[in-house]
Amino acid sequence: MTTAEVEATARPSIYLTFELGQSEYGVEILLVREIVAMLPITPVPGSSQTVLGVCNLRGRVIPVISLRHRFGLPPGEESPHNVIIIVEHGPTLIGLAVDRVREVATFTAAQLDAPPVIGLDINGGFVKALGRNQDRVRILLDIQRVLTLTDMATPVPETINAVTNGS
Amino acid sequence: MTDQDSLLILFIDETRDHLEQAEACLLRMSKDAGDDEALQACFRALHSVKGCAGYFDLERVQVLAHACETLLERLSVHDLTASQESIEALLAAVTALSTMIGSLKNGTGQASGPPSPAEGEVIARLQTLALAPAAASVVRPKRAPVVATTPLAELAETLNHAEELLHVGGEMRAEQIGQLDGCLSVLPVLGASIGGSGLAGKIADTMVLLRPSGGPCAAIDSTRRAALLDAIDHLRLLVPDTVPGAAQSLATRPSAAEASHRLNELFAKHGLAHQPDSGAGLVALGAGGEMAPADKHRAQEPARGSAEAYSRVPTARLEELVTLVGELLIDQATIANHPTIGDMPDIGAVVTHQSRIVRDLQSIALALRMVTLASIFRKTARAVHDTAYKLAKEVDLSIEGEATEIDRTITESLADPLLHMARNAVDHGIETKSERLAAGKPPTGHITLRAIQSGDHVIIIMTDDGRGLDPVRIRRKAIEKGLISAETALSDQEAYRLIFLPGFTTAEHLSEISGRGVGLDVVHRNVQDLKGSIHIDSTPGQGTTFQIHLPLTTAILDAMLLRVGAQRFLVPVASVMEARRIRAGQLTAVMGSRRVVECRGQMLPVASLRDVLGITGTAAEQAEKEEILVVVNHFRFRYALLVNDIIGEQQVVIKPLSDHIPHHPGLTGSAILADGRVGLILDPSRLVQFGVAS
Repeated sequence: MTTAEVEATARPSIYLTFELGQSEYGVEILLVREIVAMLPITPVPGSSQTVLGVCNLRGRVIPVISLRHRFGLPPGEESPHNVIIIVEHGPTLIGLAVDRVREVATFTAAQLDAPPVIGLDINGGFVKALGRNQDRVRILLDIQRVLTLTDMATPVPETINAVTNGS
Repeated sequence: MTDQDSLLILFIDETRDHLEQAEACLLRMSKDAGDDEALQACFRALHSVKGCAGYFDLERVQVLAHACETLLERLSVHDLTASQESIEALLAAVTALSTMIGSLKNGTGQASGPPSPAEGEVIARLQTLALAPAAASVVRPKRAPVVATTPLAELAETLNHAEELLHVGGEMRAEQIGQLDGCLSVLPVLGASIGGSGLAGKIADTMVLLRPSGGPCAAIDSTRRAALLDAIDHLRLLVPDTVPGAAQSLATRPSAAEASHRLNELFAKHGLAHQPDSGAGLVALGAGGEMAPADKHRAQEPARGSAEAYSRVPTARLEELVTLVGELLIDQATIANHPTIGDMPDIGAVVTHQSRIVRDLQSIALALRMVTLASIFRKTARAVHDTAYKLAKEVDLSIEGEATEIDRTITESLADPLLHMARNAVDHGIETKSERLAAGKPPTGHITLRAIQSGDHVIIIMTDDGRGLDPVRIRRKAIEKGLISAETALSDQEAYRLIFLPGFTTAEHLSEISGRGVGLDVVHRNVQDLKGSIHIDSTPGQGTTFQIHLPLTTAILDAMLLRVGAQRFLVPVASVMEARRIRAGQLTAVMGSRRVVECRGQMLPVASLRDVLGITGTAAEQAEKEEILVVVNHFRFRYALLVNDIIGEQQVVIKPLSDHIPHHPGLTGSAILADGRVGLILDPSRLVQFGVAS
């Protein structure tokens, strides 16, 4: 661990926690812009299933990601608790669709454990740390990695022989 | 941001304008060496650059501008003719100055200190030319140098005249404000040459009083008048040992007529042609191009003393305004279409009125994004000039319609394509002088650059009278380079389009100007990105015409709303040729799954939008009949799309689709629909990949 990392972890870390299925996850509160109730989502042809589509956040068109799909979890049931957590990803905003939000939790350095190598439901690369307080374990996410969607291909458009005009 | 910083930004902007103007004038002089007006305007522009640079201690800018001035002064007193060589040297200097100013803006530049080697070379060229002996044969009346007397005396005189103008009494008309602005606009230059930081600061304050938003203020009320008079008094106190004439002038205040007369004298001294009957005090200062007077108002740089007040506004703020107005429009439409509005006639009337206001607001917001093509046409003119000079060809460029307005974002992406096309026309289009004479053409090649507005499109046409495109040679080259197979049959039109393919060139030798096969593909790509199209027409031996069709704006779109299952898509109305319900049996299956439909005597390929976009949906949606046919015509390609329904037409504000998520290449953007949901915009030219039509 570098000095910078030690210093960073020495300060208490604040996370917004939310549920997906049986597990509770956390995203750094500094990256969270707002939490909104589920919005109408327009699916985008040619994107992956992880991308639910785009929604209108007060005039801004922003993509919404299904974290369930991203983590390889089965689709959940619709519920009035479903929300979109709007996070900052570089200069853009991205919505994360989650089952329900739980709380804002503070972890001291002592309450943070390195992610285990095995035994996680989700890709270990997405996990920054495990947060342990109030007798619960929260999976704290490295959201920038979660949102780096490199594993999606754009399909090639259908080829047709169009008719040229005037030649 | 400190005051000094914001002043520097203003300086950079103004200097850019001055340099552009100097360049335009030099190009005029290269056509007509005796164009005295252009020479004077160029002199003034460079003089302003030098003066302002002095204020910011930009030594390198000053030195170079000074070298230009020295040469121009020799030219202006007519003991030296404006040779092509001098004009080239001056153009090189203007380019060097632009580079310096550009690096200043990026914060990378070192504008003080000794000149760079390249600048040194330009300066040496200018000095050599300025020292050349006078041409004995040129006998012209010798005139006084343009700037005379000591700066101190001039400053005193300027202050007196400004004061007189302010004391004339009554309400100041735009004309008088223009005069005052013209009078005071020499202050920064004078202040810089006199020196003293207190003076320079006070002058800057005075200018802010007069030009609160970059241009002269629209009206001067009594408060502002008192403040200006106060500022002038302060300035007097700051000038060391000033102004023998001050007391006298206050004692014997001349009449308004005399003040105006003396102002004219002062204008003359600065080489400014004062137009007493012009509403815009200093329009003559901006006179650069050969434009009709009506155009002049629109096309010249706005920050100068026109009677209308102008402001420089950051582009980002304009974008924000357009976005917000767009949202307002959507909200307004939502209210206006709400079913309960019909029950409330009072509210209904208000909503109707409101919708008119919002629409007006939108057209104003959009108009703010519009700029004229004058600036990029000037750049193109420079490219034609430089290329012709390098290739030793004689090329005459005529420009029409440079006052045509287009979205600012479009001009930004249009500059490169136009430069490429211009270089290409001079290099490949126009023949050498001997070739032209042999072909029985006039020795000077002619290129016309024209812009016209047609509905919601702007058409830019570049025509040359050169050798034209040779479809046979293009075809042969394309086969050689493996771009097409030898069996491909192509019409002439299709052959012309091959020159837009990356890597295509017919040039036998690589040159600095063209022949690397990069260029026209950039043109094609940029134009496509702007949702425009290019058409080529060519007659061998007679020339080539490129026509670029561009939308007026990239901000809004007239769109047709299509429905596929539960999803809605927008397609530009401009690319829809026709839409109709098809009856059973009108689709003909060919080659297995392919279908065609007859439309106006042509058999068009048919694609289901659902299949093209890979939309799944519920079984019921899948089973819904696709019986609406939308014929799209883009880029001379036609095909038909099958959709479930057409919902209507709507004007939408285009919002980019996030780069972050992958999407079908046929989607170009998104828009908020009347119900607040997001609709996706289709680009018919990218929705399907075109096979080569047979």
